[in-house]
Amino acid sequence: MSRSEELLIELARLVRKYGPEEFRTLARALRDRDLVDSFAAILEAVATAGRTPGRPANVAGPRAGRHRSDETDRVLESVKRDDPGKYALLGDARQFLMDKRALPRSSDVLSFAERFNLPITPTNRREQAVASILRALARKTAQELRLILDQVPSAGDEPAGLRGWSDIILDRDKPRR
Amino acid sequence: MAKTIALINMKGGVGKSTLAVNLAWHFVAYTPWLKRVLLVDLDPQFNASQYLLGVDKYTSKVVNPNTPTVWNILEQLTRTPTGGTPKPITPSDAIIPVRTIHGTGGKKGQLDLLASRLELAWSLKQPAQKEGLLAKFLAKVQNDYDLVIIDCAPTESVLTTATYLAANYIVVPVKPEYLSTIGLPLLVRSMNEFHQQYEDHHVELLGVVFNHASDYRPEEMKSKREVKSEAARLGWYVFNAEVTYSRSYPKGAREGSPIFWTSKAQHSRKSNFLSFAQELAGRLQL
Repeated sequence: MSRSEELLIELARLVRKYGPEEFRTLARALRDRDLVDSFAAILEAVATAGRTPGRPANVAGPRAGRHRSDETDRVLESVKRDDPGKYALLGDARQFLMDKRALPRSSDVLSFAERFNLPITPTNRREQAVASILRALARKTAQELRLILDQVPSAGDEPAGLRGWSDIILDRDKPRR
Repeated sequence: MAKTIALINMKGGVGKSTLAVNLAWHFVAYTPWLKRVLLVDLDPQFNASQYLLGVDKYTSKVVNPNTPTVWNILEQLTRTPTGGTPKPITPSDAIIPVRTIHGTGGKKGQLDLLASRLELAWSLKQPAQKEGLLAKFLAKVQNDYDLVIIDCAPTESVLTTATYLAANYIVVPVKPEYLSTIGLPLLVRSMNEFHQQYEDHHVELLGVVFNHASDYRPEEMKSKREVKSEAARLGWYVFNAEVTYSRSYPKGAREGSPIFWTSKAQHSRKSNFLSFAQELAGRLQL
């Protein structure tokens, strides 16, 4: 998929989010040449602020979604001060989620949150969903957290490891038990 | 009559010896158990002996008096050019009393050890016709104990067969990490092959216990789920109680103490172990 097509899909998502009327209004406003120039200048400033040396301008940098990440960091820091045990659980869970070793799609995160009645902000962006679910988890007690995390399904290949080795070692075609 | 359990995993380093020693201590020292327990160290690394006796007592009770160990039991019928007629080893020669705990009403717990030594590794090189000798030796003390715990070396060998022949039940400590969990099907295969070869002797897989577990670590959780999933599929019991890691275990090994006598051991860690001991006792109907 080309970058232009990706942009078109992003725009379609924004249309769904804001409604077509907002877009028509914006389209009318963009006919003003001065407004377009200043808008372009703002966009360029925003894009440059997120860029790091050696990184292409069109790749989201580490500051993407930064305000949510900052908020999550603040919440986790607060947990770290108040309850180091709970912080250890959350830290591990965060790493696990960030590495996509569990709940690999944003829809997985949302479904899991719904299953455990965790209030999170609906979003199509997994990074935001993860930040949101971490903040919701941080409000649980360590005991509740343990019980919830115990239910996190791992991504994809879970049965393949031990089960695969068991099948080989126990020669499953010729059961001996 | 004693019930005999063996702790085995075909993967080393899963904490078998620490678990075996602490289990023995629990059943000996805790009311209402106060049981008579014999711990058999069947590992050339002799960690259980080191833990239970410490270097001074091992020297004074095993090395200096040349007390027979499991190695001598497995080698008691081995002829040497200068050794004369082999003499069977009796329990009173080899079993070392470690501690007596006096309870109320005259009840007392007794912890004894059948020690091991490094030379046990030699038996692995000449294993022929030695596998039944441990069972034969333990049969002589069946009425002297409530429970015999065998701490068996990892890796398939004559020691494993000797363990299966001597034991009624197998308990598999599994460290919840990937390679450790693979030791479980290896053990089951080993048991299956044993049962094919020794049709008249049945040893039961009593259960799998997660040892050295932490409260929550993603990789550990994944390993636990895999083990539980396999256990459900293949009919293995997984103990509900888990033995969580504590720095007090290595500290206890240095001091020769069980975790419940180790200074500064966390209450939660001690109670985790006690829960496992209770669950095991229930399954053994001890």
